[in-house]
Amino acid sequence: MARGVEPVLDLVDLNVHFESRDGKVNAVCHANLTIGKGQVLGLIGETGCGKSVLGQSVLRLLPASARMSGRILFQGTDILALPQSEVRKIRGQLIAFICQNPAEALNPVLRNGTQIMESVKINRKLPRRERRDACLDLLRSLRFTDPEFCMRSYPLQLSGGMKQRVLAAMGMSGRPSLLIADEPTKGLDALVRGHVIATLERFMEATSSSALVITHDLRFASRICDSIAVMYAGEIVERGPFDEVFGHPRHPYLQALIDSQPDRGLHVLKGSTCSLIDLPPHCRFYDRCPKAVQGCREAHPETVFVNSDHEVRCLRIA
Amino acid sequence: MRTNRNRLIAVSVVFLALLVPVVFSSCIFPHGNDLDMNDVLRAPSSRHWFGTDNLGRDLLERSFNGLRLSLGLALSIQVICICLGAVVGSVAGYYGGVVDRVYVLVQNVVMSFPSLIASLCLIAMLGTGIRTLVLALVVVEWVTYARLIRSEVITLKESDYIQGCRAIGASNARILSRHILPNVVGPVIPIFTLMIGHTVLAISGLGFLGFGVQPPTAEIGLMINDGVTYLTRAFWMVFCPAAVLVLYAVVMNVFGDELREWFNPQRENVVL
Repeated sequence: MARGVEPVLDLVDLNVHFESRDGKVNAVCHANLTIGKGQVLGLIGETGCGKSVLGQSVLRLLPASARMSGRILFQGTDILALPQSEVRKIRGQLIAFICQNPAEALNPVLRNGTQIMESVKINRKLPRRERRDACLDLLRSLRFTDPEFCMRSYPLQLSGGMKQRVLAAMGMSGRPSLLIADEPTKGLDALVRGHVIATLERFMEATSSSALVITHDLRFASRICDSIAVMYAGEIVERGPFDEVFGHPRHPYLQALIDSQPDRGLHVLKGSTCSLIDLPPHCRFYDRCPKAVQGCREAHPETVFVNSDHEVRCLRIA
Repeated sequence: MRTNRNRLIAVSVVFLALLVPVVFSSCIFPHGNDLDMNDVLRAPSSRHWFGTDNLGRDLLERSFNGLRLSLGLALSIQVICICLGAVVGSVAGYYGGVVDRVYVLVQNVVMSFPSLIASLCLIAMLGTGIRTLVLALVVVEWVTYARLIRSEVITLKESDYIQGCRAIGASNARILSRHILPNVVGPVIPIFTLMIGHTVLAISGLGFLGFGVQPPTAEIGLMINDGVTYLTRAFWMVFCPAAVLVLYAVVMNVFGDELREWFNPQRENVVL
């Protein structure tokens, strides 16, 4: 993140684990992240690396079995220290969350209009009559050709892309200053994806809000993100400004991730992620790392700054 | 799918048609309690379709009067049970923890008693009467709903859209009442119809044993009990009310089954 920009969200040494029958699942370990005002941070990584858990932990949406430590500073206040009732006031109004799975994220037995109106009702103090117009405006701004129909119909009558946009409308209804979008382009075709990206961009411009975008769509990330953080097995292994990180990827995992893109020849990375229950004491990427050296087996790497704002967790860099 | 739907329509029509004489029995059959000592223990005839009992009362009229009472009682009992079950089941399922554990304990205790015997005991302790009858049946039957609703709520509360609701800042009370309960209606309705049939039978059973509605009120269980004394001389005193009861109980069960099939989430072409 560029220097001198006031941070909106600041994660300091965030740890999230779950108590399960098989042991402690370390979903997020020692995560540090900063999102500046008006900036978009992309969080990328493979399935199961803890991206979504990190995103949900910001709003304390995780199930009761989750244990969190560290600090989540949002505009200076530590969300982890707040009582539930205060967290609820932040949800929707200051931080919006767009769920991962558009097909499941709308209540099947309620009309779309009811659900969007509810969000408007909770998050914006508007007289009853104006709520409906506010909803229609939102839907129109999201390129719904027939917002009236959308309000009247049930979620099952909409396509995946439309549901995604209804969810976006619900997220935007409170004019939040931080938007957390969990894979907003998942399962969308190229055309709709373009719309969603444009919508997100327009939304952030209009409200000058920041965003945490969780994705594994690197092309989408390249269009929208100012900075990027790469996660692997619960740890942030590399973060920094987008151009810097993708221009000079330092962590072998990120290099492998870039090489695995279709336009870079689909080079498959062998092996699979280590279990989050019994993590190795050494580098978590060691088993799959094409560039591992003997030292990688002996110590767990700490993060190292390669320049002022580009941070990497790899022994070979030090 | 088509046949399923047609079958449901057919069953509903039969069910509703059968309900008409029951619901309007006070207009159609106003003389259920009229005694006629000159017309005692008559076999079914064109004047008395179901015959008459030992006090000369028309059994057709009394059967439907009795059924109306049982159905009305069963309906109110089930409504009370649903309200109770919805509150307890959803709170236990949604909040979990100690509340849930206490609830499960209570549920297990209630369910471990045979329901008829439990209600008999309660009535024996509290005395007979319509109020105790309702209370006794509510006590043994509310767990059916609470259990169903609790299990539904437990699956629903983990769903993405409930998480989404939390993410827009909705309160727990709001999530429960506006988002979770409407989703529970589907599975509850068929159980409701099945349980009404069940309760009608339970009321008659208690009536037969003398623990339900008291004479001279017309009630099917009581009528069957009266008839047992005259079984060899006037079998219709047992047979006719019992046939009516069985007919209605069967139709209500079939209707409930059809509804359950209809509300089954695995059904294709869901149209709301």
